[in-house]
Amino acid sequence: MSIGGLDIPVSEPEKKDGSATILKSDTAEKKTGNKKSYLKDTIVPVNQVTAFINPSKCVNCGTCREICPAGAIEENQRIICHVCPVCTEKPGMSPQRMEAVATECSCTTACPLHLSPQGYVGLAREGMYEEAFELIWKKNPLPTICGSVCHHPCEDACKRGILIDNPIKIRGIKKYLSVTEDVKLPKYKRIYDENVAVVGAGPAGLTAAHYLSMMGYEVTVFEAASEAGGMLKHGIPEFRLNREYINRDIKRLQDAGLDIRFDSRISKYTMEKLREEYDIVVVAAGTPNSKELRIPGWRLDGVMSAMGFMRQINHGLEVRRHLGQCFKFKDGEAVVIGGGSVAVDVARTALRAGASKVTVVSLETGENVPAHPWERAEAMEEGIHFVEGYSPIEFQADLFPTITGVKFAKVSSFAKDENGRISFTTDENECIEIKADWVVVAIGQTADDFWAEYKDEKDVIFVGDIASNKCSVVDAMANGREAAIKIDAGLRGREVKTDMRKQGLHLAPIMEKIFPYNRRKTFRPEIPMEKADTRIEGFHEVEGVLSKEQVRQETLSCLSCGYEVVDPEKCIACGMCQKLCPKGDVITLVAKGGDK
Amino acid sequence: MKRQVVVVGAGPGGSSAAFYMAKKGIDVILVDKESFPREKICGNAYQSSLYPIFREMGIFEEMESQVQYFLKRIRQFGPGEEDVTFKVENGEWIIPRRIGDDIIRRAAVKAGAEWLECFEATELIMKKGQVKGVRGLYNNEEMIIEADLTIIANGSHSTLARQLGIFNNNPSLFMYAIRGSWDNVKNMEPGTSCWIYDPDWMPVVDQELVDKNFFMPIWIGTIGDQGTKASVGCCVSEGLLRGHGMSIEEYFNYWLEHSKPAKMFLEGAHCVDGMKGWRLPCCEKIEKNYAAGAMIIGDAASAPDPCYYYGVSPAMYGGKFAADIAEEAIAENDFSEEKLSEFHRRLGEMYDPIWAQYAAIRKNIVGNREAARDLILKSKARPEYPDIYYGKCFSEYMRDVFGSNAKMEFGNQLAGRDKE
Repeated sequence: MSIGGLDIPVSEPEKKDGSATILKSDTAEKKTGNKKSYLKDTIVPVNQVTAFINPSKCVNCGTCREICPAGAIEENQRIICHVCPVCTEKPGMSPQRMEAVATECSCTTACPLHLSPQGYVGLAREGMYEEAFELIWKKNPLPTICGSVCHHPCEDACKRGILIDNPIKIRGIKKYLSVTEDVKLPKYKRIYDENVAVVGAGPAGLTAAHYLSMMGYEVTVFEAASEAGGMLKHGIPEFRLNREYINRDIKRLQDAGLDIRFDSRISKYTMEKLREEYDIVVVAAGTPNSKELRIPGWRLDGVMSAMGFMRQINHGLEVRRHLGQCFKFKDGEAVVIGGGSVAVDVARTALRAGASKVTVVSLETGENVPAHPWERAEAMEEGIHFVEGYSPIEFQADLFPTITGVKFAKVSSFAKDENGRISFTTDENECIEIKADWVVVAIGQTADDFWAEYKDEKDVIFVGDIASNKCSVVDAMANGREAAIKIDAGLRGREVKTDMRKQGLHLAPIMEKIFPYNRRKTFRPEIPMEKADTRIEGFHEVEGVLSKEQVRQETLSCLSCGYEVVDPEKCIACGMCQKLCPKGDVITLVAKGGDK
Repeated sequence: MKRQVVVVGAGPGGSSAAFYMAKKGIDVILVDKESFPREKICGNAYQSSLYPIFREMGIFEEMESQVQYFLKRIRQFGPGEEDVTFKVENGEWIIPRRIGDDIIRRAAVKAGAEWLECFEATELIMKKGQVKGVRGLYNNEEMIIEADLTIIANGSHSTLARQLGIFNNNPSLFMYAIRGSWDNVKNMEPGTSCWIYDPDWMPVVDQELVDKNFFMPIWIGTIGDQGTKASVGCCVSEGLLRGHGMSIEEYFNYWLEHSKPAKMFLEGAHCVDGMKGWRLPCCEKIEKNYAAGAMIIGDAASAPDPCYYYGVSPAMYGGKFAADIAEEAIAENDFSEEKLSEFHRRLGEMYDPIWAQYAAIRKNIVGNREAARDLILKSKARPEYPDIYYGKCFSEYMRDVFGSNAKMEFGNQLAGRDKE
């Protein structure tokens, strides 16, 4: 086995005399560009060799940390100087707080999928776009989709955003990489005998299938519709997520060898068959049914469910039958009930369907509103009205009966428990009425009932929306990933590695402190967005892709706060990290305590 | 490109190094990340000890013509906000750094140094443990400048010096500073600066740290003849900030709201350009400032004194000595660490005794709340104190308090050296 400038016989890493033969290796030299290793002519006992990661070159992709068999590698976070105003546009903080921030947040720990944004931003900075994309794809099977619609918790945790000005546009960089890069990705290799069935080709199901396939299991995905994507296609409007991008990601998975069977709905009866044929059934069937709001008038024509409305629009059905006449969305006033991301998407879609005025009414107020602030800001730009803190009590109708408006009562108290269940009281004396020609109810989704029977079965595992009430794409994917890791651990008897986030980050030594004052001038590109007045005219994609030059500029702005460190006490000098490092020139093997 | 010497940073230190090297006929390139003239957060004082260097560089008259005002008196507020006015014997030139530094840099360019601006040095090129030039970004494109000798003079945030393991982060020694220009200031006399101690009433999270790092955080210096415009600054050691648990802006704003001198001078005044910040390092003894193939001068090697954090003088003399050593090293073609350690020895010879005295003042008076209070009250009671130069006053006081054993021949030592 060749390791950097060294050849160490892996079968017998420690000889009887405690030393290993160290020879020159041409291949390794080519890869690392490490012309001279001062160990090469001497014989150093293996137990006195340790890997050393060059902190200025490390991009913190986490590859070495994850594969290290001895668990000797950990992530360090540099302190970013933020006391006086030279480094920042935001008010400074006390030195104690500055040190705390270093370990409280980082893009790597914020990503639900445990991707390392700093890693692919760093690789992109070096011009290694293919390596960067591969790094993303290994952990995120739907990079183009996430590049368009992810709610980017990584950007919320970006220290540049918290301390200096705006976060690095990680999502934009990912979108650029996954839209432009056409890399030949590795194919799945089957290693184990067990096979797994995945029900539902939505984000959660595909992620679970991808991870299990990468681990070496045979995976078959069953999808009820004739296209993969699930809620991505039914729930997310086209102007936010280009349909081509979904197909592109699905095709990549199919090219790697994933078997997706379309038009195969799993029912109560076929489920039993699946359980017989497959060792594990992963259920990622999602929540296709909209919750109904059963208040007086809920059966009126013009009251639609969110999914029903989106399905009509997404499938080009602009016209709906209504009292024998054509029901037109055009020029009506629409009311959307609900406070989540779906409600915002529905409202923006309603505007594009031709509504003259759209009002979104939510129970929650201020910070409790579940939709992301940036989503709401984009919607407000387009002219959508938001009303907070009102609960619907009646759909009002004229004699026909056609809906004419909705009556709302003010919410007087609001509480949310740990499971996300909402309890509230209303004040009937304080009511408002909003005129409406049609209403979309977007108050949540439910799963098909028969799945409840399998909740306690050991070989049936629920992932995604059906298992948790978090409704974002990336959270569903994270759920799929966790399930895949648990299934693998269960089948192989492995231990699930403890979450890095629970271990806490390590503070880098003070020598590594970053003074960002000279990085403030860096030009920061904006993701191209169509202007609000023209974008509502059609269903075309609103958000553009960064250009190559813009991506380069943006990657240069990354502060590189994290880097990996080897604990020489734990390192067994196996050289795996050096072999697998995507950059190649970062890790070297050196003598313990020697000159680096 | 390849040059004999590359000087990174065109502040007073880098410029003086480039000037003396160019005078000696060395092929030297001076680089800076800014385009000159540029802003610098500073008290704007050029001490009289620099006059000989200015004369040698031929810019004495030009500098003198740009003097905004001559600092003659210092009004000192103690921890209990009692005050006394001291006289400054030799005076100090107050010239905006934007103008002064540019004059010094021009002198270096005039003497024959090559000048490259907007070059941001990011990394030292190391070969066999020896510095062989710098790598950096020029117009956002990577550029390499190879050199036999690299002079690192890019200030307290220097990443290059840190690459060589030279970085002073002792929280009691280095300070954070902010400064802004204020208009409509009241009750200030032209030519007077106010120095204000950390007041007793500041909220504290760690009393021990506050006592240990006691310092004069606030200063107000007049600009111009009317006394209505002033440069207001706040420099607090990291230790003191930790003791108060605040950021420097919070500290300054708290002082602004609650203190008597703030009411006296700054009520109704406003900041015209926004408070800008900086990091100020210092040392109690000249620290290691050399490596194989490189010499580090000025703030990058934490050269400023440990009491007033005055850095232009050690930077400019450092540049001068560095040029002498560079000439010898190039003649002998020897850029080893041993050869360049001569630079540390020579600079230390000049500054160590003075810095030791400053450190003693820091420890016994500036860093001691009771002593500072005592000094101000005693000075008020004994009119002969305020007549003596500020620093001498300290030494007199030290002798009074600690007896004749306290050897404190403090004064404007560098100025004295000039006269010899």
